[in-house]
Amino acid sequence: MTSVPAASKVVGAADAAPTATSLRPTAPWRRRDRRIGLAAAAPAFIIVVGFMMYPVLYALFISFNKTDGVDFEWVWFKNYSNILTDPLVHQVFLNNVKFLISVPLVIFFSIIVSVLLFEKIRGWKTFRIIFFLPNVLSIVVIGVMFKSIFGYYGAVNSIIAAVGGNRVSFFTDGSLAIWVIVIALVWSGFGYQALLIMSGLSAIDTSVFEAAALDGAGWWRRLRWITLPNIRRELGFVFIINVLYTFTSLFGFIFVMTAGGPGYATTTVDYLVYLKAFGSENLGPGAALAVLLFLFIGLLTILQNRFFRIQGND
Amino acid sequence: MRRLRTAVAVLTVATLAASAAACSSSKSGGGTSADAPQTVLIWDTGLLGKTNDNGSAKSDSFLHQAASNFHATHKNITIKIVEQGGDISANAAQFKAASIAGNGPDIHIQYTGGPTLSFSKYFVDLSEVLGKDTLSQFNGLNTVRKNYEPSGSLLALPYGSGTYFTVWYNKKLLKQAGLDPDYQPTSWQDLISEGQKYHTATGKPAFYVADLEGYVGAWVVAALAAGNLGSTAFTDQYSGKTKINTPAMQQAYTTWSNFFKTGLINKDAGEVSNGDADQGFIQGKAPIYFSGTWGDVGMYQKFKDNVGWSFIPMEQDAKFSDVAAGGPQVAISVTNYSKHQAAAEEFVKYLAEPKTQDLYVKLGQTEGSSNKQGDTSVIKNPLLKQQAEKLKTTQTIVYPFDNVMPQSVIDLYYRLDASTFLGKTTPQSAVQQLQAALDAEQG
Amino acid sequence: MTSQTLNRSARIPIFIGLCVLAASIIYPVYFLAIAAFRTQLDYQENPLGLPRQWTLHNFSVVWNGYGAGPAFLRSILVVSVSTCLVLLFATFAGYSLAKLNPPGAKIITGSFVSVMLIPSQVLILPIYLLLSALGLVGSYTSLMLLYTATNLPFAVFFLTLSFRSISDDILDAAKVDGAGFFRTVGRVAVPVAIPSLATLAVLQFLGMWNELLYALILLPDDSKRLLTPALSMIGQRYVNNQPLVSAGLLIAASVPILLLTLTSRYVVEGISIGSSK
Repeated sequence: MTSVPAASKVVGAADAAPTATSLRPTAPWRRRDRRIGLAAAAPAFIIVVGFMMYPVLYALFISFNKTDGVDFEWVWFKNYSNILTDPLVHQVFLNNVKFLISVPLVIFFSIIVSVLLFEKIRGWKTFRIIFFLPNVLSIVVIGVMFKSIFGYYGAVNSIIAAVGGNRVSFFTDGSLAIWVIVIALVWSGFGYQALLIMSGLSAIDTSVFEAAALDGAGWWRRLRWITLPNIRRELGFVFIINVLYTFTSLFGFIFVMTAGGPGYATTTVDYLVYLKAFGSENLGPGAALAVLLFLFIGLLTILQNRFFRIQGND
Repeated sequence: MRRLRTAVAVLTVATLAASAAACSSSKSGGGTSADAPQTVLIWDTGLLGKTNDNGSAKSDSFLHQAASNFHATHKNITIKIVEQGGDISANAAQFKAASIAGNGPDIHIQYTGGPTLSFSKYFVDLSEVLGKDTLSQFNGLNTVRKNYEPSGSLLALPYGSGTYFTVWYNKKLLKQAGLDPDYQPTSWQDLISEGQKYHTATGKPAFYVADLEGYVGAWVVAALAAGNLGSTAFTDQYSGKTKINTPAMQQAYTTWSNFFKTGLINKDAGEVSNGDADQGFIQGKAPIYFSGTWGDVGMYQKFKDNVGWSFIPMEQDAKFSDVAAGGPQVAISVTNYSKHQAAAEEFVKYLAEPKTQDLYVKLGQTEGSSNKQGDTSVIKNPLLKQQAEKLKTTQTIVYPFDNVMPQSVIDLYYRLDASTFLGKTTPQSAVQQLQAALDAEQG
Repeated sequence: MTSQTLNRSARIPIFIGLCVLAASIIYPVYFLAIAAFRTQLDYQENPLGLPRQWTLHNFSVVWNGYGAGPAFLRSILVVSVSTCLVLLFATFAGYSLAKLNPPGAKIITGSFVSVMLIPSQVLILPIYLLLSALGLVGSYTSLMLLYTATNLPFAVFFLTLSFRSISDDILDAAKVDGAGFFRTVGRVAVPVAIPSLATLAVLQFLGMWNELLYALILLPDDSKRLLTPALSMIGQRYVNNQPLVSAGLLIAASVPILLLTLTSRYVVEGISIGSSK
């Protein structure tokens, strides 16, 4: 169940929001528009910043302290230096990087599926609901299913044994386990992303397709040169939230399948934050790790924004 | 909806009763503030508020019955019980936040050991409240004392005799393989050779192990280590009297990792989760299974008399050969910011009475009483009865590692137990990592 | 329409492929649905087989014993109000950021992003202390406020993208007709963005519906408990009662699925409006 709250809590790489209108000359009535715009954006801004400012600053403060929430001892950057030199943090961070492989895979599948559904394949409404089901299902059920399929006596191993191979213990080998989890992530995640992409597709002016069809352009060509450029922003959005998701919300999913093991071979950073924030009496290191993670994802998000914006200009 | 109506009804009655009490006291003219109607709020982390595994009969769970019995004699005090969720970490986070804000419950019920000690800042010392005479009747007080020191303040009342790690035997399967269905191991090595006999006879795995999370390893390693370190093995490590990275701990890990190499275990031992473990044993995948006395109800329900049990056996050359690993799980604490502290303490005193705890034992049938005056005749489950008898004569009872330590160390411990089992971590590295984690937590 | 762009011979293998994919999803749902109707003992003996006897016991335990009934209604209240608030404020803010270029747009979006990138686990204590100081802990308001604040950035960003694809010409035309801000948003922008709004509504609703941690922590009183925390009471430390959990999941999943089914219609409507522009 983590996938959804995750995706809904993360993001808003909205500083990607360069306004097309800003290129226009500034007429007086446009200046009035801008004031109205400010008033329209204000409620959301006040709710978000007003509500979150104190908790965020408080968390930042905690990250410079050794504290159990009652007694505070200012330790400067000690929490940060401990985190940065902790070999476990390095290992877990590398795991996260490996899990990034799921991002292009999820997006590839969600593009294909959303475009096909958008073509109104027979029963598309039913498919749309079915593909979304994993998000409603809870990760526990998904975990159980993948564990039974890739388990030692599971379907995959039965096939391997039937063709004369040796059974493979997928979940006790770190790198194999990562692959199984990636497959599970793609399987359970594409429906959610496909919904987002479909809503982007529905905004494309259909006359563009009709013109292209008359020109005799093939399906793949139309996908590459018309459909994809038109949903560039949605793709960027989906890409960014998936990268974020990989760093902030994989824990629950992985915990069901491998419990983060063997050892820490499939443990992710968000689990470490969880552990440090909940499992320890000292709140400082958890907060410091969260701040570092924040800085890293922030940088990553800015880079991705640049990337998708550059694509938009050509 | 029915529960809601019941709640409303109870609340109405309670209010009426309270106001009646208030009226009568004001008439007599001598109403002190202690007699004023008040409500004591309890947060129970799923420990005392349930009768059985399905949670269907919450309103007549032990805690609810105790509360209403108490109210019958203390009309001015109403006990309100809030059941918290199954997630230990979330509960801990909630209680911590509420305690810092000062708006937590009057009584908090949590696990003994680490989860109790980590909140020592917010708990009242109960030694004065309950008094020497009462406390001398209790077992397991060391599990809830500050720093596990005999003179440390008593942070909670330990409730129930606790749960202990056990080995379960499927008598039918043993019999079918031509082995003694009433087999009892004399040592760890003896247990392995019994498994070897079963494997030779049937060609099937002898041990059913579900060690995905490392829980089984946690139980076995703790028990085996206690064989060399005795009953204060882990509390001493916590308080710094001894270290975790010692040859004795390393030895326990080595034995545990060698166990995997015997090839007598189900092939998927490293990937079966604890939640599915009972299932595998019930399905008869192997005749010998590691779990604990918390499984009594289910085992008896499924196997009746066709299941045997023993505590985890010690190694042949162990210093202590008669060991049970486990201890009380339930701890009842009074918060020091409570506005109804006197009333809360009154209720804890009531819970400490032997008869009250007998009711708990009778309803739960998962553990005996922590009070020496407890009535053993209320135990109906034959497995529990046998265990209670056996515990009386057991020489060494060790409070296990995963109860004693802080949460972060426990979590690492589980992982290392899983990975040493699979040979991915060496025993030496495991004990070093644990020591480092404990130092970091306490440093 | 776009359906012309894929030829008939390609449609059959694609249809089969999608069916296989769908089957891989239907299977666990089937597994779940069956498990919800059997006893724990029956399930443990043969998890994958058919039940020997069917029972509604699990549902009655979850509904009555765990108080899922009233919790269900409370969840609907809290989550619906929060979803509506998010959609309302996000529509205004999203439209503004997409089309009106308000001063400080970068600061607004930048702060949204920053706030949302912080892993939520470390915010639990400060958020609790904040709401406690405001006297809101234990009230539904606290959760509505929290859900609105934490879900707005995603919603604003997503709607900004959708509104940006509306052509400036029809907005200018509306302005020439004398339409003010509310009329432009309500009569022109929102109808075009209906597919996005419908999608967003489903996703936000589902996210809040399944949220566990804050729902548990901010409403400590079990007479006010929401559905997801109520269902999380099922199961103990070492016990896993899959049939009960399954029954709980079926109850929990029913509302988001229903919502998704209902919104399918609006996605189609949105398409037809979009294509007529």
